[in-house]
Amino acid sequence: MKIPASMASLTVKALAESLTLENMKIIADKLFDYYDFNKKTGFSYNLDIPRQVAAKQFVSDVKNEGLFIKLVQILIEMHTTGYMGKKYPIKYLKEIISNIREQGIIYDIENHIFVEDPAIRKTKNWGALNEGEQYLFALLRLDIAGNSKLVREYPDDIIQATYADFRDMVYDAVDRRNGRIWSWEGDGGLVAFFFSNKNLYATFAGMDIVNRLFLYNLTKCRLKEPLGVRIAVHSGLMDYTDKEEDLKRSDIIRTITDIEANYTKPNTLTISDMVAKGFCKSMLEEFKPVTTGSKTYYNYSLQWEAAE
Amino acid sequence: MEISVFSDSKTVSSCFSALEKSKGFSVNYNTLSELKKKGQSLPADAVIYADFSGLTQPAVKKNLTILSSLNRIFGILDAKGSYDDPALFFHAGACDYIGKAPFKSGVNKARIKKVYEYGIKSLNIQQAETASPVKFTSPVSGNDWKKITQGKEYTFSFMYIELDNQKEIKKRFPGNALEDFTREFHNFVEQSVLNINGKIWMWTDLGGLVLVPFDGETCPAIFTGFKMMLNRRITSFENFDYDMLFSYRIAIHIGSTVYQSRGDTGKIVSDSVNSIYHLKENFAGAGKMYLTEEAYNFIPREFENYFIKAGTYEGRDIYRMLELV
Repeated sequence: MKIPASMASLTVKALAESLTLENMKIIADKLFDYYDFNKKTGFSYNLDIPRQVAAKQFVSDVKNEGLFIKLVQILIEMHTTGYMGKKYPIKYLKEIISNIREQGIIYDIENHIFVEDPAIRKTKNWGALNEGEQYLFALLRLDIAGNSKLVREYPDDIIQATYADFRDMVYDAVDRRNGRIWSWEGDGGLVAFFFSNKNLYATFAGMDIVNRLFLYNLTKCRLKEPLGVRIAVHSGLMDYTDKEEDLKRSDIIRTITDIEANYTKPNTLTISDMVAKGFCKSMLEEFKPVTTGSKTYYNYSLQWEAAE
Repeated sequence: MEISVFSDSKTVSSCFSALEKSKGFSVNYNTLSELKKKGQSLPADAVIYADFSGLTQPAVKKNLTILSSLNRIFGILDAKGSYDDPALFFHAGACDYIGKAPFKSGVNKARIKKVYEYGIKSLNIQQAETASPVKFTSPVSGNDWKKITQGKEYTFSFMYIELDNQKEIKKRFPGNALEDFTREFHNFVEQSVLNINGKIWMWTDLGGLVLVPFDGETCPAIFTGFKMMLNRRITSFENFDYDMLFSYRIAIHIGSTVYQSRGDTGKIVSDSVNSIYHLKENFAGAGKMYLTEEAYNFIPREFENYFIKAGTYEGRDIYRMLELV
């Protein structure tokens, strides 16, 4: 994100007028492994550094290190929830947040982080997650059943058009729920949900895709048989990474792959116990429990009454 | 309408898969060597497609001569886009040419209708008198609101949507909470019928009558109603933050009424409005969708298996959508 000079100046003003040098040191400790105000400003240790000078130097260093957004996040935290039991009212905070919003970044109150405004930009990490840091995600995995057979049986253009329809269907169902497609391999992919009721959103997206597939197979499918897709949802803590190879090695991905491949019939959705445990009773009644050994999964499918 | 496809390709049916699922159309497949023999026995207004993909020049010439001599409406399939000058086919009497891109996206109902109309004109074929499945007492309204004027009578699609278990709902949402909840449900109905140009026309309590323009050919309200029933579970939990599964009933009818704008409908006397009101009130069961026989005549073919006859009410056959269990 580009930090305009006016926004940096406003932040310097906010720090200088709201915090002591000691308070600024607290923030510095959260952002840097080691930060020495005296060394940075050139003031010897026996001299007091004017707050304005300390703040100016600090904001400049924060900006250069790409930590500006993190700084504002800490300021919001100190202002709202406080630090070590004490709140620190920060002047001009509203104006700073408003300036950031103009850059297409909005503050997510629930997760206490700045994220990209989905109306302006959509990136894999919502413009907020850092490589290697651990977060709680809900994941949705989709896989076209019998892909190899379909590819052998149908001409390439039919397969390409059918799979493109499927991708559009998935994209629309997850996009409206602020999900991000993390990987896509033609015959399926992995989608992540991070914000708000992530488990519910991932599950709704899965249910929506089951329903859309039903209508697609009934009205538009170019294949002689229904397009079959296995869908699974699981959630848990994992390190965020941009690299698909690293993603595959994570436990949560291995579990969701297992649920999708081994406990899910085509055109149904299976969710893990981790996901289901937060659901209300009436929502859970829409799923059929599937017990396997010590694990219980929950399956959603369209079951029609028999026509007499 | 019968479409006869002559092709030696195993995948040719993919081009006609949408058409095969359309009501009123059937597609049969034959080999190209059967063109002459079978072509002659087809009805005068049959539509033929011959697949010329990968044919040698002499084979193209031979089959084109056969097609011309049949004096039938015909089109050429060219899945690989191998012919640089498809106009030659039209010079020989073809009414359609399906090149690479249209082959990929598939032939639809609208295209075949155009081909048929063009062929009928150019071959001067006498069309068989086909009786319209339904006679309308009033002119159809058209598929949008542009030509609809107040005070005149039109044939519309009527769609009644109403929440079930109203007593329980009223208990659960006392006072202002009920107003908020009703507004949310009203908005949900309004949004759901937006893409079929539907308008909430009358609203009472926890449900209302939607008026959908009707062009005499299709009844999109059926698909919309079907989708609303299919997505009821997601809608309940995702659109309404009340942790409860809603149940609503839908009744669809095609009939006529004088049109007046919403709020100015107090003096309307319409048999259709009465009928659909009685149907949803006295015949319809909770959580179910119904079509009167007038609406059922316009059900898309692919949805037929998902409806069963539910009985007769006020002299009309009533059909019910199968339930999700």
